[in-house]
Amino acid sequence: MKQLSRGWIGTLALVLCASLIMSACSSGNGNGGAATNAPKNSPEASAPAKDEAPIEIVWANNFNSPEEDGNYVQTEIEKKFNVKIKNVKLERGTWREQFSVLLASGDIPDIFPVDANETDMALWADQNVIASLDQDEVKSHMPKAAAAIAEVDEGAWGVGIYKGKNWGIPKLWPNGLSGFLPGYNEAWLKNVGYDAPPTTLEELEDVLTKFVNEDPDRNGAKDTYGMSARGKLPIQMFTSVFAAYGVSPYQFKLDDAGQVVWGGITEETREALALLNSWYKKGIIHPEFITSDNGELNTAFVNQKIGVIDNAGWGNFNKLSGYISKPADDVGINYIPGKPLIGPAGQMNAFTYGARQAPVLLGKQLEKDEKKRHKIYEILEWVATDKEGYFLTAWGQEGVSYDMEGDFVVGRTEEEVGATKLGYGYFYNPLGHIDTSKDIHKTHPDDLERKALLNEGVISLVDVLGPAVMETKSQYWANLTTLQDTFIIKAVTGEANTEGDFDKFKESWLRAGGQAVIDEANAIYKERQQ
Amino acid sequence: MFQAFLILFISILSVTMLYPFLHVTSISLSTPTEALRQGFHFYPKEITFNAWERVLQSNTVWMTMGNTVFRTVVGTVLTIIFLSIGAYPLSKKYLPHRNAFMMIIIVTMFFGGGLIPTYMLIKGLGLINSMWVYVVPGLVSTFSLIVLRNFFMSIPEELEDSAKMDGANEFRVLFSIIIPLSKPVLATLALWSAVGHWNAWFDSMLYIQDQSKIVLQLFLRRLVIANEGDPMLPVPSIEQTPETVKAAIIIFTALPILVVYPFLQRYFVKGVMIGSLKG
Amino acid sequence: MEAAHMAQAQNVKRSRWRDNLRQYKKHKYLLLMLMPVMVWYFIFAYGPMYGIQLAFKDYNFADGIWGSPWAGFKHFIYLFTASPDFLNILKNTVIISFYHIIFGFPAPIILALLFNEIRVSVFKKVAQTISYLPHFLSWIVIGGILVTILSPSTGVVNHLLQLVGIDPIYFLGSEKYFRFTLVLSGIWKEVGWGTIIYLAALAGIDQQMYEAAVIDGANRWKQTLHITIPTIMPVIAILLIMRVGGVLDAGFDQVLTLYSPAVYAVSDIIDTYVYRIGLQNFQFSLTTAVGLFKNVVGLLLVLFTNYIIKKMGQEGLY
Repeated sequence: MKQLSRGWIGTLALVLCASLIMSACSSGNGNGGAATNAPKNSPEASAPAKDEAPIEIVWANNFNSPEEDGNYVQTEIEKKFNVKIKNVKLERGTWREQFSVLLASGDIPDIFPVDANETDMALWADQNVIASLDQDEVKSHMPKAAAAIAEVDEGAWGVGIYKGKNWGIPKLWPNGLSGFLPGYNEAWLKNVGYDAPPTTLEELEDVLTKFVNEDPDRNGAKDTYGMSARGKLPIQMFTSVFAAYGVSPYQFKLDDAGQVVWGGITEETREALALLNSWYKKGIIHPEFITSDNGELNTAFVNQKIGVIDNAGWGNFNKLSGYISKPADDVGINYIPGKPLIGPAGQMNAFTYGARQAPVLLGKQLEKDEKKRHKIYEILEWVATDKEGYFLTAWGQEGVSYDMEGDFVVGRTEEEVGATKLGYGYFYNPLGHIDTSKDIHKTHPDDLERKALLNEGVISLVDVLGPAVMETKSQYWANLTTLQDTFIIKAVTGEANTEGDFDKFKESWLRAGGQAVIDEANAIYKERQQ
Repeated sequence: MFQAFLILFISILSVTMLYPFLHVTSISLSTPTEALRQGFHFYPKEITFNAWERVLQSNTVWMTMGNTVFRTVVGTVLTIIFLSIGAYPLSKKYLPHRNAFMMIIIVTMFFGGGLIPTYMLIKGLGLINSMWVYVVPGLVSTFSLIVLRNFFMSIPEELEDSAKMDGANEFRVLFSIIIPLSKPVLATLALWSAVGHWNAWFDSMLYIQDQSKIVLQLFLRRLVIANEGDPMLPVPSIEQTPETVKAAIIIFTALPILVVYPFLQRYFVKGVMIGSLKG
Repeated sequence: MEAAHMAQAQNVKRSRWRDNLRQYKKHKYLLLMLMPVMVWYFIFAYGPMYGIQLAFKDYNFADGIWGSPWAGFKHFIYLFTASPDFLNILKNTVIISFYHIIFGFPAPIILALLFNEIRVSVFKKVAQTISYLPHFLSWIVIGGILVTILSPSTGVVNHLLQLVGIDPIYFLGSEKYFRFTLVLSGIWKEVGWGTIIYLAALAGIDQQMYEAAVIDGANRWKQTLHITIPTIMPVIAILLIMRVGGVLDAGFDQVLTLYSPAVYAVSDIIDTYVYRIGLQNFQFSLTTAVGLFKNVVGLLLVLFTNYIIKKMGQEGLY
């Protein structure tokens, strides 16, 4: 016994010793994070403007990280703006771990990774890691970017507001305003007597019923369903039906009184679920939607088990698109688009993710470093809106990594001139998508035409807030989402009903923090309106 | 007969275990259309080597594989050495403060500092961007250490006694008697270590910035995850990795390790303890 | 009187010290051997250990680990109370993990013994190599295949079930069958790889013992019971003790790949739950707290199992 307790004491002593020694050794640069971003390798970096020494910018990003430092795009930017860029190259998928250890050792970059979301923004704002930026200053130094943003969604300026301050440069994904459109197996439609896709919800139901009963793939067996859904990502399930009711269960919307409400507990959702349940009972919905992801949906459509896909956008109707179009084309199926169905909401609604994203964040040290800050504004504006800067950072070098076909850019695919070799692909252009005037270069004229055609007359169902930092969210969101995901699936399969059970769900949701979330959402909405 | 049933049962089991491998291999050799076909994939209807070409012709693949080979070989050899010299003393009841040592080691199986302190340590030791970061921080696996130690404990002392009476010190005993008797277990631990090194990518991602020093798995992961994003995008300007290439990558990674079994066979020699147990 | 006692005590202390020194000298080679390993532990295992305090602090980058403010048990309370379902999540974790241990721990042992019995050498080698294959494929790959073969409408498994008159079962989509599917597929994937250590142990058995047993008239079954199993018992014992330390790890990769909202109620485990909460945040304090919780529970179970194993006469962890 004595041996043992001596053992424990000895151990504890050792632990304490070791830890203290090791932490002392290694924590040299661990504390006082924000202020210690003195660039370690370039002594001339903070020299005054007199001798025009290049300003060093620490550029972190996780998208298309270039393989080498001193790559083509980087050197071009350095030359033009008289800066020195220090790359912080992060992984696409696992950048958070990489980035967190960098922050922990006090290496705060000047430009933050593009995939940072609004929760990260809030966290970093609280921890004094990012800089608060004056919106008017941003607008005056980046007029073209501001104009581009105004064209798409002026409300994007509200996303960066947290605790009364603005924390970044607004970032947009305009394609997010294009919504999901239903797509059909053309041969199936014809075989059940439809020359054109259905336009109303009733017609859709008729089509789907016929898909089940009238052997649309003409193989002599009753082995087909109308549609399936992405059970693994509930926000994308049955969007065509929910949209026809004017709602998405996973979005905030405004009710008739102008208040922000949560789609999942509205009457429209209840009615939509009732309809979906009736379809499920009729055998229209593939029961395996529960375990389906895009891969399974792709396979099901291509193998003629379902005839409708409703979680694809205009881009997927390009015959080369890897989701549905090309695979279907390869086996002789013509995947054609339809317009959103008109239902009780009376108009063609399409579920969209919206264009708003978390803003591009800058490191805390830039609050004091005006020269560098302005330089960064200048660079970001140039690469995002100026034709030369855009082409450079998006595609590289003409004649080397891309060629022009009229206005459209055709990239070359050899490995030696790949994105990560030359440094293009938006690593140096985090705001790369805000400017819609660049669409003619990014998107083939045929696709642009298709986009215009398909989106004509379509009303986007967008979340009324978009990305928003909510304290209540970090507290309750995971549970609320689980609660809703589980209920919606049960409501469709009939395990839960849409009368009493829906009321119970609504009540639980509100009680489990939902009410607090809605209240906060309303507060934020009002704040942004000012 | 028992043998017949046994062989039947194992055969059925083997078929189920073989199938996923065949499935993925078949897809890696198929055309992209064929790859999406529902149903079984035992063999490709039309063999195309496109996917494999893309993987094998990439220079980066071979360069990063070199790094992986380095860490696997050096790491495993060093690990086996450290495990042996660590497990042997701990297996002796007369080792001074033996319990204290065991405590210290066991505690580490359950308590650890986490990502940030470990990173700071590695940084403080100057291992960032060094190939040695692949080998040194992971040198000792407590799990393996304990398995080896307990195995050593089951080796009868009498086997050492005669050598000791002849004046051999513990180093001698360890290397000329104990280790030869432990070949199967050591081979297993070496295998575990080698597989661990071969599949590792997280430390490469975290500690290595110099892209010429990253490991194969990290590079391949990037290919698989690359540009996987918005299925709503029209033809992406930067190519997504097709399913067939992903399949080839999976098989490519697993293959070398399978060559290991013949290696194991050499060390799993039966009856090494002949004459060791009496009555 | 006092002085004499004190002197005696001093003498005892001095002689204890001298005894120790003598022991160190006697076993100097052993200690020497052990030193590199202990130095490694000191640096790499204990060096970062101060990070555990994060579980009790509100970590922020500016203050670093030492400077961040204390938060007591805040994160643990958050873990336990943030979700009204936590008790259920804990229950899922324990149940799934226990199934894995109760069925998954013996499986490789049994398979190793079976492999040992095969007398057709070529078949044996081929079968063993094939058995390792599933271990090398990730759950993402196997998950995709599983979804296909277990499909109630087009999957081969249900096809076979129908041939014997059973209705199709939605293995991955029904709360009733999900855990079963989870555990069975998990065992299937790892059983082959798990046999290796036991085969290594089996390789060390003295063949002469079997010959002696045969002469005594014992059949294969008796031989297994009285020779094979007792000889590999030490390996089994130590592996079991260490296995139970992972009682609150129920297989994150597998569950994440295979589960869906329809079966959250029976399959949401601590790790997947934390993954969903933590997904949006750099929540170090929370992840450290969760890890600590899991490890403490694991440690308790290990100590308990170790005690039992030692009572049964085997060597334990210490």
